[in-house]
Amino acid sequence: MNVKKILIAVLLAGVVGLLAVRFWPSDERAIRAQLSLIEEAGSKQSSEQPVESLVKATQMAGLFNDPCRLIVAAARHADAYPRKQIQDRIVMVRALYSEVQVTLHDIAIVLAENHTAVVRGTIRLRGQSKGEVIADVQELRAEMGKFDGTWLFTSVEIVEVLER
Amino acid sequence: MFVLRLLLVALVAVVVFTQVLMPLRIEGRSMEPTYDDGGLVFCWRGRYLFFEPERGDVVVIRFSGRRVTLLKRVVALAGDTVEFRNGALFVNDTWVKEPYVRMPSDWNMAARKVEPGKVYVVGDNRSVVMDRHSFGQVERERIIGGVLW
Repeated sequence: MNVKKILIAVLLAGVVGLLAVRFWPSDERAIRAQLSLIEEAGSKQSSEQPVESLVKATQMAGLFNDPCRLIVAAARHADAYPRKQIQDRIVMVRALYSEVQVTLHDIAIVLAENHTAVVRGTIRLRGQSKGEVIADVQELRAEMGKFDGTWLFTSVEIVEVLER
Repeated sequence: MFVLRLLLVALVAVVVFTQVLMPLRIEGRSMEPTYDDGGLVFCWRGRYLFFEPERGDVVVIRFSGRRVTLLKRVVALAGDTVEFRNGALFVNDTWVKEPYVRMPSDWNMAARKVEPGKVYVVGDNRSVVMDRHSFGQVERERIIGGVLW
């Protein structure tokens, strides 16, 4: 076996290793998939039909444990809400926008031993409401738990970065 | 040899533009007219390594990471009191001349004291309704640098 063949074998092993690391199922990957659903189901195009809106709101609400604690630091508000109420709220907020793009950035996931995780990230909304351009950025701190193999939000906090 | 040089240049560029001089695209009008929507600025990360932010500095504030940031002006430091009276800024009960604010403002906000370890930041565009403008005191550690120019 010459050097060239060894080099190719090492490269191939490296690629296989990288692919395995990239696609091997893990809790972190499962959580990231749930977060991607927020981006997908949260975003709305101007052509979206009411039925699609309802389906998306149901998908998003399905990410929350029943009940889920919501904390808005700026409003000094913290309470637990049932999933149905969260879904109604999602429908209402999405209806405010004619179109909106939801993106998540700088996600950090810390897994604990007892099937719980803490997620920190930045959520960004860009869209249009009543012909006006709307843009908002908030930092989120969420706690998640694994229930029957599915990761759900047990607590979501909107962090107050700028405090008046 | 050429490939090696190219790789070195690419490596240096990556390090410089991710760790030292971060390019930032401005989205929004909160810093107009100083910085316009769609403009490009560079965040100089070394700006506050050895110095503390001062009143009047334009700083870059991070959220959970560095991908999304805010560009704001420091108007008061820890221990100062901040107040707006009919659009005029008062720090420690003294009117502050702000040549960078060129649009009319009618903001009114009762005096509040900036907490230790924090600075008070506001955008230059005070013509927007106060409730729709992001401003307030922010932890010093969230400031990741200043603008290069």
